[in-house]
Amino acid sequence: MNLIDQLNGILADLQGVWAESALMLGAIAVLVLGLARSGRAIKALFLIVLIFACYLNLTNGLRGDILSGSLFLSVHTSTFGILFLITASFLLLFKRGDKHSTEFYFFILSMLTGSLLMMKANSLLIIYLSIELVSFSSYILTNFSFKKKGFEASIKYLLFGAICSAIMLFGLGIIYGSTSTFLVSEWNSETFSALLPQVGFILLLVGIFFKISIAPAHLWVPATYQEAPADATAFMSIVPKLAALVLLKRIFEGQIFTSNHWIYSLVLGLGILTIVAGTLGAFRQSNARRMISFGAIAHSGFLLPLTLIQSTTASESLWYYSVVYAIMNMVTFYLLDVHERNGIVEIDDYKQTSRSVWIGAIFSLILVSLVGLPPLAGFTAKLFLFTTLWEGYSLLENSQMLWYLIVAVIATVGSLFFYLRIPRAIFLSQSTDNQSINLNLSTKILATLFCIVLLLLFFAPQLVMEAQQLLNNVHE
Amino acid sequence: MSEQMLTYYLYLAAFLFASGTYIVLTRRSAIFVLIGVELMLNGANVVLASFSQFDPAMNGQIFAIFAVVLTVCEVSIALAILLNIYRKSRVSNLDELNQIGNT
Amino acid sequence: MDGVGTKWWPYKHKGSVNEVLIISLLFLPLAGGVFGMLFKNTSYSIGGIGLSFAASLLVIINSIEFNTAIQWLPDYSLGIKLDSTAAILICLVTLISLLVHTFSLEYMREDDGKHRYFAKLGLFTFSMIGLLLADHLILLFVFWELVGLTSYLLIGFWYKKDGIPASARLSFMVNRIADVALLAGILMINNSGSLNISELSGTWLFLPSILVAIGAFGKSAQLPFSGWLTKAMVGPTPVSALIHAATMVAAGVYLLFRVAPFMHESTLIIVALTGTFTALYGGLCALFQHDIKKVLAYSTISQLGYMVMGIGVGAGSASIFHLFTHAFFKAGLFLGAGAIIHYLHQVTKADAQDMRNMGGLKKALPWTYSTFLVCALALTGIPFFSGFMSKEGIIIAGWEWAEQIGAWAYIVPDVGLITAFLTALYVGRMVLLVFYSENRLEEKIVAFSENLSLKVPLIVLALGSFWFVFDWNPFAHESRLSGYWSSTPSHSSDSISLIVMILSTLLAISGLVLAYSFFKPGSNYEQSFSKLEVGKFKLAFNGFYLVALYQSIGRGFSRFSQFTFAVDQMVVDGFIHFVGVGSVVISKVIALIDRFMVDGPVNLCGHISAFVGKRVAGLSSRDIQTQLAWLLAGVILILSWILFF
Repeated sequence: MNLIDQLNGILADLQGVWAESALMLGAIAVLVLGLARSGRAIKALFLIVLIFACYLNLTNGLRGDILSGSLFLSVHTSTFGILFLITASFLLLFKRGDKHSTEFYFFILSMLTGSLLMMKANSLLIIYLSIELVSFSSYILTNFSFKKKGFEASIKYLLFGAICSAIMLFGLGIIYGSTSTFLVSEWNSETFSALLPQVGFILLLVGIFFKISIAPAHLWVPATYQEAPADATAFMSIVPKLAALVLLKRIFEGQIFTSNHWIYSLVLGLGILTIVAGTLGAFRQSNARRMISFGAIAHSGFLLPLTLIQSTTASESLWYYSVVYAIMNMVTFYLLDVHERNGIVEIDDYKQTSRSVWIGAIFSLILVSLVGLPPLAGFTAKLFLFTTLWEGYSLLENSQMLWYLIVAVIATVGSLFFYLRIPRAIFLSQSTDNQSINLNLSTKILATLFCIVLLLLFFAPQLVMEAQQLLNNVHE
Repeated sequence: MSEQMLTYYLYLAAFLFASGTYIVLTRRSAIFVLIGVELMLNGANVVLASFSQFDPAMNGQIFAIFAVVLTVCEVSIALAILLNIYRKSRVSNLDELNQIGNT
Repeated sequence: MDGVGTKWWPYKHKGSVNEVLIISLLFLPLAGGVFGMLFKNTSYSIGGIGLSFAASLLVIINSIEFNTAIQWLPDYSLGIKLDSTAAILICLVTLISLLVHTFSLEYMREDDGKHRYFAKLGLFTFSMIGLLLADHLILLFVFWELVGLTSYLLIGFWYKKDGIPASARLSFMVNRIADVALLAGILMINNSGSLNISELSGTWLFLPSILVAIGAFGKSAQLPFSGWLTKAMVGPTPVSALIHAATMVAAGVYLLFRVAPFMHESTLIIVALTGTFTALYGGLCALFQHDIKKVLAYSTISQLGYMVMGIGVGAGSASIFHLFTHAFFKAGLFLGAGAIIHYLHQVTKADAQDMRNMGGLKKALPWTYSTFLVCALALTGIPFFSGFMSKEGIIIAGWEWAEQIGAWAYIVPDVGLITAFLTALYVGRMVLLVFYSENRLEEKIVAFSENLSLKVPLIVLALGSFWFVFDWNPFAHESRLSGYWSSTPSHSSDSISLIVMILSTLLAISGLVLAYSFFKPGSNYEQSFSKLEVGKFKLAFNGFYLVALYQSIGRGFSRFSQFTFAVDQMVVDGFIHFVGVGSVVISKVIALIDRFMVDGPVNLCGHISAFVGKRVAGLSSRDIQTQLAWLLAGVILILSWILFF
């Protein structure tokens, strides 16, 4: 193949990364515009960039390996990409002052780019670069409350992330040394039969688990989620996590392990540990956001097994759970933000809000959905998960799936007891100093809309599946 | 490079990684902890670079250069944050940063 | 059962018209409640429930059957089915609900939150009808939860009063625990086949069937969940009549009735025994209460015990019959109690539910008295009243079941008979203490005009407690309605039924006589009743401390969560400390070996580990370095696991 052919091939393949390029250029444009304008103009540009990236993502029809194997495109990368872009657009709903809004949107865009690349990564180099890109943006965004605690959380997050990336890099080196390839797609069932590459693979998992927040790499979550700005937290708790899950699913899709391999036991064991740590940790928290962040850890544990099982059900469950999780977390952090602006931070502070019945009821419904009770979409997501686990148990004959199922069911019940502490504080306490908090109508309407969507997705779950089909086929 | 040499390089990498870990876990000063992180990352880089001797395309060394650049970025972010912390509260030791937690 | 109605209802086989009928049947109560709350007008609520009742009558008269399904997830079609069993029970629910709505018009007249109250009643009626219409277990579970939620909202209706939110919460939580079992059971069954009730087949394994039974026990207040029902009595009295006597608590029995054919046989034995002992438990506790609503609550627990026992012994039809008769007379009793409480509220400031403050109310409330008496006699199980017929059916079935099972199983009908005696005793005590003798209050009794909206429901319910409503033969233990829920008439040997009938009548009468001899006006017990201390009967008075048990479990749970909190704080530190101490100890040991063996490098190792231990022990869990230590410890643990195993 001569040089011209190679160049032509690269040019043809570039279509697959147009969305990322647009985001990166858009990020720079946001920075440049930030020199002259602030506020509305920045937000408008941010939205335009997102819509444009969405368009590029939808029209991209490439699938499979591109750019000499460094990226791999699939149904998941295109549909999750749209999900991430839409999630990012919801950040505009949060109230954000003009202070440093340029930089904020710049880092959101670069985190988004990193997440999109992370999903598509096929080369270990891309995996490392995209994880670092996401991480760096997150470290900086954690600072954006510009308070002492925010800096503290940020440096702790950074150190934790740096150690994890060092461990991962070491693992990548070992994998490289023992397989002499960087490409995930060149792995096969023989690759990890020796001990050395297995060690390397585990060290690689540490880096990915850090992004998904799987135990023991979940310890950074509470402090970071508690101190970062609410919109950044909402974004961080959704997009990088789901991107890393898609990446993990892609790695396990390669059939590099048989289903009774000990790696499966290990990952499932860590998933169970995550669920337990998240659920138990949440019980005694006094800060509302900290409690939700432990809940988010438990949700990572719920999502994890869906990457291990290779079946249509598992893929559909992952997609459905992710969509519902994105909606729930977005609206939860939105409501937490609204309350925090009125000085309501601790769970006990919610006793003061017993006057604002409407928003309280909506908030309670959202939390019920996070628990996973009918008639909200959270229940359907859990039901899908349980069905998948059962299928995994009966098809793969992996009895650990059954244990996972049992722990997941118990944890779902257990999570009722901490999530419902907020509704309890709102509705069941006779508080003396009942000041009505200041909520405008748009907040109420917005929260209600989200809630209706969650209800709708419970009654018509096939909408989500059809959306996936539709998003995947739009380019035709 | 012979297999024997590779082993020595890997010993060096392991030593760098382990001493970095030790520093990260034991030093109070945030700057020293960052140095520990650097050592860990460079240990990993040594692994990459030494394995790339067997790779005609030398991808490992390219990877290592990327990793070095990223490390620089990481450290500059960390220093910026530490500077902010120092400005606000005149603290540069990690164990004095204990404001966040359950009340 | 094609009735004559077909002639004037030409749409019997037209699906779309029936669909509209079912939808209005289901949603009218809710719509009425919501509109009532929006426009602050109670007539919407009454209209909604009235129309719904009319619709259900239409369904019954024309014996309309209806079957549809909503496509939900792939492979999950949520069936909705109106068969004759559901139809007749919906008719019952809407009728009782209508009467309670009417009664509440007067009872809640002065309450500020009455529109909220009617909206909640509407929501309840809606959920209950939905529960009866649901053919799919998950759909049923959704309505089951809705019913539980409304019950919670209504128990906590006067949430500003002391202790009421706590009681509401307790009932709610106890119910949730049982519901978790139910959901787990449903999910287990899910894996073995369809969840549509009408498509169930085969026999379930023991575990899923016992889990479903536990779910039903929770809703129907069977042991060990009985405690919540007495706590639920803090709600408004009409609510107690509707929810906690006539309808919602019967949902568990209804579910058991539907799934009993698929239950594992040892589950059925457990169900029978649970019902039996719950019946005895309720009867014993009811005997020692002085809060009139608690007497009725325990009596409800006891009667629900009969129904569950009936299911367990395979007499589902008799249980549903008892559910039916019980709904009438117990709702009547509760509404009667409501009228008494309403009256006492206007006369005195003293506790209006305490029987120690009652007595001699016969003169003040003549209508309430006579209807209450009729309902009480029905509860007692005296011939010529409805309770006699349905209770006989269950006990006879229990007897026949015991004949097949073995000698020990006679405990079921025997305890049933003993409970019948206890029932007569506590009913006699209650009626005598409330209506006879002189009033035990300082305030004078004044005549009280019993409002029409109080009177009508009471009279209707009292009429429904007579035998002729169900069958012309007062000694039948089947009803002309039985055809609605059972296709095969039960065959019982005449000798057994004769013995049981005579025995239970004798027991009931002797119970009443005994009650009279103790509590007749002017007797010692009656005289000293107003000063009665709990003292001797503490155990039964407190319902065998079931609620205290829940609370201690709750406290245990909160200790457990404190413990898990400690994982975040203490244990982490403790572990680190342990590691530190451990490495110090190791270094000492090494130092000892050192003296005898090598000096130098080993010594250095000892120092290093002591140093690290000390450093690490000094870190708190908030510390980033401790977190990193945890991370690395985890990674090392995993790596050593793969290296060594």
